[in-house]
Amino acid sequence: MALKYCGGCNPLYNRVAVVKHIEKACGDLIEFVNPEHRDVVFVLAVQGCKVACADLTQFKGIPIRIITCVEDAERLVNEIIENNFLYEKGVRSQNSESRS
Amino acid sequence: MAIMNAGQYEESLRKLNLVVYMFGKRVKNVVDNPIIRPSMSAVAATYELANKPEHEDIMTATSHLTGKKINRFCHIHQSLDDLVKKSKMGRLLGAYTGCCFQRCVGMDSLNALSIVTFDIDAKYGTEYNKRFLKYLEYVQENDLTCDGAMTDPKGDRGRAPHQQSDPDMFMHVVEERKDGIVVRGAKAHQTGALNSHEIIIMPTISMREEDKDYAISFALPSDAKGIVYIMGRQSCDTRKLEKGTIDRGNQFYGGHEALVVFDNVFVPWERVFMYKEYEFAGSLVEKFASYHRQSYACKVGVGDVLIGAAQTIAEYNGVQKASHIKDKIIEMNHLNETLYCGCIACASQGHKEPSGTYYVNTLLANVHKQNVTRFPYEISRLAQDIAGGLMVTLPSEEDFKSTDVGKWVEKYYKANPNVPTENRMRILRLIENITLGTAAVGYLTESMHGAGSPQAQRIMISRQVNLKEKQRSAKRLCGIEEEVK
Repeated sequence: MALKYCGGCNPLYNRVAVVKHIEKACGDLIEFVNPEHRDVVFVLAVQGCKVACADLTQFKGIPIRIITCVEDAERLVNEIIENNFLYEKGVRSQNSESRS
Repeated sequence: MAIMNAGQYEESLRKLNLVVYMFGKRVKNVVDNPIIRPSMSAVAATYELANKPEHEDIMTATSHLTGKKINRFCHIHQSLDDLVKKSKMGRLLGAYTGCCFQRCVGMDSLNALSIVTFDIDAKYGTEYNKRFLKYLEYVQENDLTCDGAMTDPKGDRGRAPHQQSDPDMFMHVVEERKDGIVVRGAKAHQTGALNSHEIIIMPTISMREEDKDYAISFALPSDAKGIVYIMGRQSCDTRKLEKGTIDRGNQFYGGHEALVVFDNVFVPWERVFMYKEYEFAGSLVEKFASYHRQSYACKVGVGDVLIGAAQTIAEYNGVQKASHIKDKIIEMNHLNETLYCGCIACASQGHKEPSGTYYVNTLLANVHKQNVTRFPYEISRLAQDIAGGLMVTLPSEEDFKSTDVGKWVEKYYKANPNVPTENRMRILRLIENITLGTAAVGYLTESMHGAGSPQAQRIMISRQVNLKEKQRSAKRLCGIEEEVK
């Protein structure tokens, strides 16, 4: 999962802390990589407010999940833990296929 | 190396051989001088944040020359989004450093020159824009910090440059050679000059033909032969020489200004971007000034810090629930966000110049800067009101740590029992730093006079508004027929 932040000019929550929380809560279920990573299959866009101004043009054709507040992050964590989210997006099945 | 990190930036400064004077003595090691170093650290933050994933979306851009990722401070605005991100970058860095981070002035010089060199070439068939773009690529490739130097000492304000009794009151050409020109003069109030790799010179006012020797623009390495820097003083500056860090207020960052003297300095032709095209001096001043008035987005970020400090001292003092305190915090936020409105608006209402560079809306940029000449003073007044008089009567850190009297400072300056006295001292010193210490140079007086004093903006506002259209609206609504002249 590629991690893409907005620039953070005036964020309404601590974006970096929220990402650390997601990492900790999801454990091995996810791995964040640099946006330039060639095997990106999914993008998490961490936007500091609802303006959501991070430039996402480089991810054309790749599924993107945008979070703009702590509640969005909590919802994402719950979906990942319950396995719904990544299967829905085809991310896990894709990975499994490529490994096999 | 299209993007440097903070460490590489610091090392690059060590390679410069600047001639710097402070307190009457030559400063041999500029980077490690305790009075100068916090200002270097503030510029270094512009490199540091460009390398952080959580800030790079604002701090970096794509060069229109090379397609490479570059620091936004070296970028020529290619869209309205670029202009908006510039304003956001100002707020971000202001909040991160709590002071002037000095690098905007170079960015504004580069953008103004990208427009005006193109316009001069269009009229005269010269090659200034080609020269400029070559220079720009050098700046972008090496991620350089540029000092944009506009303000001449000006001498007698009632006289034009050529009428001054001392011709050096405005930067001027003293010799023309086959390979370049020799210039003499000075630039005053140069923010961040000692932390810059390059210095970009621009004329300071509109000029007529009689002043054509003064209508020059060029760029030089900051350590070019003949350039001398004389460091400006700041309120409380020598606290940085004292033991401890509490009394500094801001532990990490600061700003500086210097008088920069050009004592017969040679400039090669490839670094000259305007040479006696006097009718473009005013345009360059206006373009630079408008961009730079937008750049006062940084004060919104410093305002964020001051509001945070005011709320913190209110909590430390146990008065955060008082209705008048809450109302003052609301007022501080209202003023600060109103400033933000101006710098975002002038960016989003900008336009594309013939050169391809995007330029801010000049009316809104001037309105924004006019607000900046006022609101930080009111925000500071409210912060001091909330902080209480202890902000200026507090004993020193050395008294606090004294084995003789420290216990009394600890005892009598405790307020909220859950908050250490030291924390209360620290937040009070930060408020002092921003509202009347070293950082007040940037947050207050620079807000007043930087990028032009208040009257300069009022003149621009009067030129830009369409009063006739406003009158027409009023007359139509109350039934006045347009007078036929």
